[in-house]
Amino acid sequence: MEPYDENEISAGDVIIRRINPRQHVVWDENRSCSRISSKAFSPSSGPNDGMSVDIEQLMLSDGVDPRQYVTTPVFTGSVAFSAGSARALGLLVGYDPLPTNPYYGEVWGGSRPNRLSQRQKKGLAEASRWYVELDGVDIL
Amino acid sequence: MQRPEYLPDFSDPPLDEVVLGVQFTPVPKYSSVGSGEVWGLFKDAFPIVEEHPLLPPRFETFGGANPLPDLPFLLGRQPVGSRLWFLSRDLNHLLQFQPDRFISNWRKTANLQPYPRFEAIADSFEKNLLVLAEHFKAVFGYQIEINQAEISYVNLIPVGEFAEEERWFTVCNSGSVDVETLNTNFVQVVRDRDRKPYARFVTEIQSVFTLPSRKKALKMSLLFKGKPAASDVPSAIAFLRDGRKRIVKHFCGITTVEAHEFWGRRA
Amino acid sequence: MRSAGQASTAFQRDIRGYEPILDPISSITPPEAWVRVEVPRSKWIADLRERFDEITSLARGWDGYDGRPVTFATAQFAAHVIERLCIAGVPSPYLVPGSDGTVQIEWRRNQYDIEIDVLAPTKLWRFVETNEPETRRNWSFKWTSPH
Repeated sequence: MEPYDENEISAGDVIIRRINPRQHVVWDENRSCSRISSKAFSPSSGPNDGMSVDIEQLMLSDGVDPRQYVTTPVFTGSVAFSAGSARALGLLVGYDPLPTNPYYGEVWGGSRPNRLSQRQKKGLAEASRWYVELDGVDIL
Repeated sequence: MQRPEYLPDFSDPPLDEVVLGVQFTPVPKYSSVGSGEVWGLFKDAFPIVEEHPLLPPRFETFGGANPLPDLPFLLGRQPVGSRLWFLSRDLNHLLQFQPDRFISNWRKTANLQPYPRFEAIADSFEKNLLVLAEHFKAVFGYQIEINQAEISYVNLIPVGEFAEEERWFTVCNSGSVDVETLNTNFVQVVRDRDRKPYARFVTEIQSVFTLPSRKKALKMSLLFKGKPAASDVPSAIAFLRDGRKRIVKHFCGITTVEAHEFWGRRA
Repeated sequence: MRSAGQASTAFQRDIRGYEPILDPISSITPPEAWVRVEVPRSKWIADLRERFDEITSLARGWDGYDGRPVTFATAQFAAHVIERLCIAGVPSPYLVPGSDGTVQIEWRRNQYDIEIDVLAPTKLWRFVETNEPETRRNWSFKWTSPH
């Protein structure tokens, strides 16, 4: 999918990013807590591949329970941020429906679609709240 | 490609093998099913095929608090597959292919073909590498990304006794010691104009017994390996050419005048 | 007088711990030459051996989307970097896989956040942030050199 910004996704729409409890969580000795690694806010491979997300509004429109949907088939936690907060960081948010996930979307870097800067990753983490919480894990 | 005129030349150097190779980011989505197509690219000149174990990835890294030589340890789930040898009918020439490496060997075999000279070997390697790169692009949409290159000259010097090493090498001097076996190696870090390390030059001299005759010989291997300036084919070839110059100059520096005369030094 | 064909290095075989420097790309390496499985010298690599096995064996879709395991070549290069950086007495880093086969090496201790994002062999991004009041700053560097 070519990077683009979807007009139908409004600023307040909830964008969900799944977090694997085993792979994405690290111990922060500085703050004596478990937290999500910045690597969790990274895109997939390919020059046009962005960061994989789920679009809550699409699930709600289809009558699908988002919290149940994003915890299958692999159980993960998830965080959520608004589309507006991603765009404020210079990111693009668009649909990319798949046969296996019709609610799938992507968040692309502005200048480099498949790379988010440190500032953008940190900004997304700061803008996020737990959607499916992982006990004892801080987002930032 | 023309031989640089200033480079020392020998009519009969003790060369036993010359190897040129590149390592690149593995071709995405390549599987061993595609190996037949790869062989098809070179089959006319290399009709004989052998299978060998995969070579692990190797990188020249520098710096850090633990400045020890790179050791070939392997971690993680290793890829499945094999390294294919494509051999010429006379067995003098060999291409080695695996999903992240392409290597060309010239070796002196029983048929004692004359050494074809570096220029011919390098031209052939470049041509074959470009063919392979074009194949990757056409079939997999993959632009080859070369991350390491290496060139190696292996020399074999027959001797009556290993103690003769000082007749051939300026870096060995056993004096009156009755040498039973010999093993010397040293590694130099090579830096660019900005003094940043980018390659290593490895010299290894060993006492060996040739097969199958079990005759004594001294094996001198000179290897230049590291990261080319860029990831494309021309940069890799430039790296190999530079390596060749270093090897030839170093070869002259660590071998004796008497040895040069024996090997027919012309320049 | 020339010798053709293969040579054996009987001397090497008698010496424990001898490390053949040359990559076995030479075709005249005897086929019966043994393969040495080296024990890494750093504690960090010893600590991370199982973790490397894990992240290179992740099932497709491990991230809930289409995540791939860390590629073998990237893992090897990351291991080389870790081996080089190892400092005695400092705990080993965390390894965090990316959805795209990459891996991030990170420490969060002693008031420093250090991340080395290994994107491919010889391609790294390095990020360092310190929370020490008198030196509060961050550095972000892209490495494409052999370092």
